[in-house]
Amino acid sequence: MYNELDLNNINRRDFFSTLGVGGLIAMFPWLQSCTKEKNEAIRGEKVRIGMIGTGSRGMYHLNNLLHIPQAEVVALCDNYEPHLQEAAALYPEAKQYDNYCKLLEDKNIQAVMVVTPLNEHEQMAMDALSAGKHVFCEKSMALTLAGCKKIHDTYKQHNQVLYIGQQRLFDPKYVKAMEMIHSGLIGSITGMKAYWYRNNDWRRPVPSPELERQINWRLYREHSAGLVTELAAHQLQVGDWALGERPESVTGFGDIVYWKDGREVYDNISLIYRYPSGIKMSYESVISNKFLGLEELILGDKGTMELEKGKYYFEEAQPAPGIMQLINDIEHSVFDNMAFAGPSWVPETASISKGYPVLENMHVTSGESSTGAVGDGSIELLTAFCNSAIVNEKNDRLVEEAYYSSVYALLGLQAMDEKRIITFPEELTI
Amino acid sequence: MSYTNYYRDSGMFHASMPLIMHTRLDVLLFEKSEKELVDIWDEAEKALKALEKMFNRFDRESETAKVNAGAQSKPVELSDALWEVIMECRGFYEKTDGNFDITLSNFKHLIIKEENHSVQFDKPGMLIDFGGIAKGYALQKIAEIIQKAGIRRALANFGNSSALAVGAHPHGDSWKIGIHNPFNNKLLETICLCDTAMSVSGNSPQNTRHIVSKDNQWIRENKITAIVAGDPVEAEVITTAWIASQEEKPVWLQEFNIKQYILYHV
Repeated sequence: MYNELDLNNINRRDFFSTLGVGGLIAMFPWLQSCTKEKNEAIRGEKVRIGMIGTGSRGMYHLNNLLHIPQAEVVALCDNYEPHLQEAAALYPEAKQYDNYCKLLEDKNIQAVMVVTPLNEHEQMAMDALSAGKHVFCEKSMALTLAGCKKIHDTYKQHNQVLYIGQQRLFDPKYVKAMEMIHSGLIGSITGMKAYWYRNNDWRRPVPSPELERQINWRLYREHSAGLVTELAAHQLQVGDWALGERPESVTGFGDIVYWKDGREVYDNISLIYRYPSGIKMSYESVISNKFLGLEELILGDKGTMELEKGKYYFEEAQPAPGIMQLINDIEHSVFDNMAFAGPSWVPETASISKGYPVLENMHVTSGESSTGAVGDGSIELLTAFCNSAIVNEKNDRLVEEAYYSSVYALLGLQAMDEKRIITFPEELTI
Repeated sequence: MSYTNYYRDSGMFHASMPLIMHTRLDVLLFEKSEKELVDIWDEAEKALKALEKMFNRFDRESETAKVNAGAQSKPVELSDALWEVIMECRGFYEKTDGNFDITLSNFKHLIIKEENHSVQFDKPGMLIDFGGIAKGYALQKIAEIIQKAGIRRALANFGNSSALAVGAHPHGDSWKIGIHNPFNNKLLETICLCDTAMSVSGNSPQNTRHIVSKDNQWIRENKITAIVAGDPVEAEVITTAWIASQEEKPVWLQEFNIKQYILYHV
C-alpha cells in the first residue's frame, strides 16, 4: 500500500497493532489521520481536489495523488500554460483554470492544494479557507512572518482542515527514529546539526527572458527567501520534534558566494538556533558543493541519530541489535521472540561502526532533487490530508509545527540580513 | 568501560560491555530504582573484570597466564578462586568422559597437588584455557549479584551464545530466545527461558575452528548444540563437550541436570 503509514511493510512488525494506535498518536498527534483504521473507515469515499500550481512540485503531488484512492483531482490551475497542459495530460477530465479565484468559486471542489511560489501562499491559502475549502499548502507557510501568522489565524477562524507540506512528519523512518530518541536510546540530547548541500545553480530552464522571475521564482526576494524557506524550513522542524522545545534565538550569516548570476537569495548560509536549555541546532546550506549532502543529526550523550539516513550510532559500546530490538519491545509492552542466540559472536574487525538502521528497507534520499523524493512521507502526508478533509478532522499540531518551522526560517533570514541575534518575538507565539 | 542506559517508562536498566572475554555482554535489569540498579551493575562490572583478569590467558598479568608460563617447569600455587575452578574443571573432565578439557591436550598431564593447591604440567607445550567455561562463571557471578540484590527479573546475553534468564519478560511468561543458523541466518528454534541459563555452541562462518576434540583435532563439522540448564557453568561445559565428542547423544549427558538439549546439523 502506498497510502497509509503502515510500517508493517518496511519493518517486520506492524507499528500500530503492536504499540496500540493510542500510544503513537499521543506522542505524534498529527498521525491521527493516516492510520490503517482511518483508511478503512472511509473506504470508498473521495475528496474532490483542485490543484493550484502545476509546476514541478505540483506535478510531483499530482503523480502521487494517482495512488491515493480517496483523492479525486477535479480541477487544475496555473497561470503558465505549458505547466497547465502538462498536468491536463495526466488528468484530462479535470477542469482547467488560469486564475485561482475562479477555481475557488467552483462549488464542486472541496479541497485545494496550493503549490505555487512562496509569495503567493498567503493570499491563496486565506482565500481558499475563506471560500470554505480544505487547504493543503506547500511549505514554507508564507514569505513573511506576518503572513504566517495571518494564515494561522485564518485557519483558527474556520472549520476546515489546513495541511502544510512538512512530509518528514509522516516519513516512517522519522517517526520511528523520533520514537527511539524519545525513548532515550541516544540518551540526553546535547546538540543538533542539520545541513543540505547541493552542487547546482537551482535554476529551471527559461524559454524566454521575461519568464525568468516567474519560473526561477526561488532566486528572487519578491517571491522567496531562498534556502531558508525552500530547504531549511523542512529540517528546522526536526529540532523541535527531537528536543520538545522551541528555539528562543537565532543568529547567522548568509552570502552569495558562488552563483553570482543575478540572483537575490543567498547561496551559502550558516545559522545557529539556540534553545532555552542552551542546546543549539546548527544549520548550513551551500549549493556549490554536495559532498556532505543532506542530513539532520541528533547528538545525545549516549549516541547519535542520523535522521535522513535512518541510522543510529552509540558513543562507546555497540549493543547487539537483538538486544536493541528487545529493549524497544519492552518499552512498548511487546512480548516477542528475541532472535539472538547462536555460536559465539566474534568481535568485528571494522573500527568504525556502520551504524544500526532505524527500519529495514528504508527509502533514503540524496537531497539532490529539488522536486521531491520517493518514499519520503509525501504520500502518507497527502493521504492524511485527504482523510482529514473527508471527515473534517482538523490537525492543529501539524499546523503548529509547520507554522513554527516557517517562522524559524524567516527569523533566520532576518538574522542573516541584519547580521545580529534575533530573539523569538513574543507576539509570534501561537 | 560499559554503556549503560536507564529507560524510565519501563523501569529497565541496560548495561553493555563491548569487549569482555573476547565477546560482548548485554544485561537488562529491572525492579529497582535507577540508583540501585547503577550500584548493582557497578558491582557486577567489577566482578566480571576480576574474572576476566583471572581467566584471560592472553593477558600476561592474568593468573592463568602466570600458571601457563610457570607450570611448564615447576609447581605453581593457585589462588583459592582459581583452585576451586580447576577442581570443578577436573570434575567436568571426568563427568564428560574427557570431552571437556581445559588443558587443550589431556587433563591427565596436569599434576595437581592438593596439599599446597598447586598445579604443574608434565607435558611440554601444555596450556590451560578457560574459553569453554569462563562465560558460564561470569553468568553465575551475575546471577549471584542479582539474587543478592533481590532482583527477580533480568536477562543477560553473553556474546549471543550464552544467556541467563531470571524470571520472565515484563510482558510475557518467559524470555523467548530464537536460535539462528549462522550459515544462513534462518531461525532454527525458539527457546522459552525462565529462571534458567542457555548455552549454544558450534562453528560459524566467522569462526570455523575453535573447538578441539579429545584426540586434539579441530572440530570441522557444522553442528550446533544448545543446552538449557539451571546452572550457567554446566550449560557452558556441556555444549562445548558435546561438540567435541562428535557423538549424536553422548551417554554422559545424563550425568547433568539438563532441562532441554538440542543438536542441529547445519
